[in-house]
Amino acid sequence: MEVRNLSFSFGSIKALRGVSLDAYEGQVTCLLGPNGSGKTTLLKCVMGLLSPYNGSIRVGGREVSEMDRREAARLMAYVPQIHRAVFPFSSLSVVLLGRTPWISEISGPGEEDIRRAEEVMEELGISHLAHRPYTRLSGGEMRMVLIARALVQEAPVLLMDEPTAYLDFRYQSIVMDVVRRLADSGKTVLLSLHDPNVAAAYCDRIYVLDRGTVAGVLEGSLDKGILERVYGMELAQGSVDGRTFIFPRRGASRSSHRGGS
Amino acid sequence: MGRRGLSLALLTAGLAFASLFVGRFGIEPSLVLRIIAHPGTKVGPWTYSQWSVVWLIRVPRTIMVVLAGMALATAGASFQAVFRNPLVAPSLLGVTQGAALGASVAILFASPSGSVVQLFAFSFGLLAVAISYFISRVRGTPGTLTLVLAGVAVSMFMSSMVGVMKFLAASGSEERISSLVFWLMGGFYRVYWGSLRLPAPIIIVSVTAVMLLRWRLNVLSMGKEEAESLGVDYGKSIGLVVVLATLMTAATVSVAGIISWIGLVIPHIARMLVGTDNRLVLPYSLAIGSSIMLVSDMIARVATTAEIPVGIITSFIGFPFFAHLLRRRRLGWA
Repeated sequence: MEVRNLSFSFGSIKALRGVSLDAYEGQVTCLLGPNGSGKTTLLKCVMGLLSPYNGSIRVGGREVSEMDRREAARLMAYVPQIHRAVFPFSSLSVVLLGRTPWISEISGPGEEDIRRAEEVMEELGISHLAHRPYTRLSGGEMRMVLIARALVQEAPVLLMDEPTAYLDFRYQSIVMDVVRRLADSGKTVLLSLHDPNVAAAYCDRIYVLDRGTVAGVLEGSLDKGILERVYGMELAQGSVDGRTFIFPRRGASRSSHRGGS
Repeated sequence: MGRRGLSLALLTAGLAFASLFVGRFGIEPSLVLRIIAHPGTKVGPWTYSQWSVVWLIRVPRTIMVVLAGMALATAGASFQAVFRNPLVAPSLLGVTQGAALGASVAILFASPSGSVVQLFAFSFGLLAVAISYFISRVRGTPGTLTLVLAGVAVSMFMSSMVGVMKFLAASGSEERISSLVFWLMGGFYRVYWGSLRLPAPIIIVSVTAVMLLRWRLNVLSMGKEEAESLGVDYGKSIGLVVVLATLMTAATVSVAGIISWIGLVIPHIARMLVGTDNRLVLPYSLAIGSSIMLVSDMIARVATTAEIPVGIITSFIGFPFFAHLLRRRRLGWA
């Protein structure tokens, strides 16, 4: 996947300004940056949910704006940040929705699709949720169901908007382990995260976004300087088991508040 | 599901059959049975008027009642799914009030004959929805919310125009006023074979089409972004469902007048029985809608010496039934 010089505006507000990035098969590529820096907008542009954009987004050699919906959905699966259904579908039905791009317009999922959905739920350890109403799940459970839905979509590219948001400590690592495993099995994963340490631990490459532009690209280790600049706060750095961790100093946000954004 | 579905289908068929035996014009059940068995024999061990009551009145009426029940319930379920709101009814985008205006115009200024009223009601119903759509399009691509708001506005406008018609009618002939009032309250008493010609094919085709799209309704009920990321062209799909639901509603209203409650309540009853999945909700709504419509119409025919408008019956049945279910079981999103 290659994004070149991508710009997008909501009316007069420029959400993305000339962003370029690459994401590769077998790798986890991460978008990191403060709230409002354009992470979600970028993911939605790639998925074809926001248009028209300026610049170019090519996935598997094809321009996203030229694909029809079904093609795009067979190529990319999207896990949104928040999604609330109105009707209390069972979780299994929600997962099954992921089969939609493979089902003809006038039929529903068959035995094989159901088996596939159950398999994926089993793999993710959420089989017990299958018959519970999706609307009554906790934020974390809901997220796992949406990830399962993206997996039954069987798209080579996965786009995930903050897959660890609302998840407890354990679920976070379950999800990120799954993400890593998916990339290792050959998927192209592009996701956004809030926690730099999680990003560094699991991702091959980190694009730091700031107010709609790429402020820096990190590979392998975190760079305290860039993050301090982007988040507008003082950070501390430490090392455990040979890995570098970055965390905010107490009261740091007050001392150098950047304002705006 | 299989057994429950089958018994529901049998119940509907049974009610439809029973409906042939019910009416003001008393005919022995055994005689009705024999008349049904010999459709070609106009006079036999029975009189011509007995034959014609069964074959020219009760049979077409029963068919229309079944079609109306399935159309309104299916339209309601589809609207609730695509507008992501369990509280909407098929009248949402103005089709019912538009049809009412069409019927009033026809009754007061053209001809109170059944087929003219039908044609006016049908086309004004479609026109009202088209107006809602174009109003919502004024600012670029419409969201469903703008469409709903436009629909509410158009509905209100249409119903005030119906008010104007009533006002104009007040100085007109008594006969026309009463035929207008009766039309507005809904009923199947005008139905004969000829009145099925327009609505029957429209209802059958559009209901079948929506049935084929019922998995798609699940996807659409998740909202725009979700549907699009699952490979569905949201605008086109919503448009198609709205057109189909509008056609079946307009076709029904054009013959039967305004029948409230069915489109709103039946899908809820179906969901209480089979859950949220529209693959089941739609066929169940269809069968339950037809059944309740049949029962309502039978009551309308025999409850008093003069026929009661069926719209009144559906509200009398619909409301307590719904309130009871609401109290006994949770709706899921409550």
